[in-house]
Amino acid sequence: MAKLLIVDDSTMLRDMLNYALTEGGYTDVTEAVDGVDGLAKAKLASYDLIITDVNMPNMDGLTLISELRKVPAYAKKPILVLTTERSDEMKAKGKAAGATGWIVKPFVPDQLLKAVNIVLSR
Amino acid sequence: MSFDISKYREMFVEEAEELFESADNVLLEAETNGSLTEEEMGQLFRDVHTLKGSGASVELTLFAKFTHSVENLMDKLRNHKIEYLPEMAGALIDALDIMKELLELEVDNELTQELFTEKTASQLIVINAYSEENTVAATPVVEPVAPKTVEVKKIVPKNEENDNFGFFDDDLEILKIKNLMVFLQMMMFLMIQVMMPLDFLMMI
Repeated sequence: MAKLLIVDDSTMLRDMLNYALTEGGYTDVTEAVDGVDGLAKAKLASYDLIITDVNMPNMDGLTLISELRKVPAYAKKPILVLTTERSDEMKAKGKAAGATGWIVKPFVPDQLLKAVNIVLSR
Repeated sequence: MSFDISKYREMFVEEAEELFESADNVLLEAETNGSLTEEEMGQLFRDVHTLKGSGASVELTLFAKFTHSVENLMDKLRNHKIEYLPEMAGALIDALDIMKELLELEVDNELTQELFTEKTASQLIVINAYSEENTVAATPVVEPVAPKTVEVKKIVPKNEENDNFGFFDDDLEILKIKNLMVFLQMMMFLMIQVMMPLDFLMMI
């Protein structure tokens, strides 16, 4: 069973993500409230996929990805960013930070699961 | 699969109270001091950005639409695309008050397009004037205007569903396309299944 970590400062969005993933068969989901919490939790366990918001207090999502890429265990693990923007600028920032891909917020549960299934199927 | 929107709207309203309080505190201090620090600009942007994103996630379309305009102004401020002017604090406090009112009305299903336009038209002019580039030193002069009809676009248009996620890795993009092709093939197969009996009936 794949282990997933979701990082978002909104309790409601974490709950929505957790619900959608659990309904989609991913029952091993851990939540983190910001980049600092996400980085600490990621170092304590081995996650198969990390999904992170971008704008968060204490440490934003792009910094979190950059920090995770320095950790050997996460150098090649899939990391998806949640973004409210479809803009090329946002995508370029995500790519530069080391993200594997992006999911647009508000997300459609089926589309979220498609993205997760694809990255985990490789 | 779909979400229990009413449950998540309740959660959002609770979360929104904290975000409004945080943003109000920053702006009230800015109004007193006549300045905004980098940290305060970042805090303001995050608060309003979360209000917009979470609001859109629970289908509060009009609330999210107005909040997007406020977020746009705050984004330009934090990125120094425009200069902070002391009088902006008052305008932003007014904008937050409108956001609170819109949220309450939309959650209660009492926010019509006409009412939205009436509540937001004047403030949108102020916000958009501040947001415009090359008007850094200019204070917008707001003339009373008749409310205009504002076109409302859905936050996630249906025809962009295939662009709801993507990958930076070509191999993953190929998998995404294959996934879409399988879906289209299934749809065509189902359509053929539905059409076949009709053809038979027409032959008879």
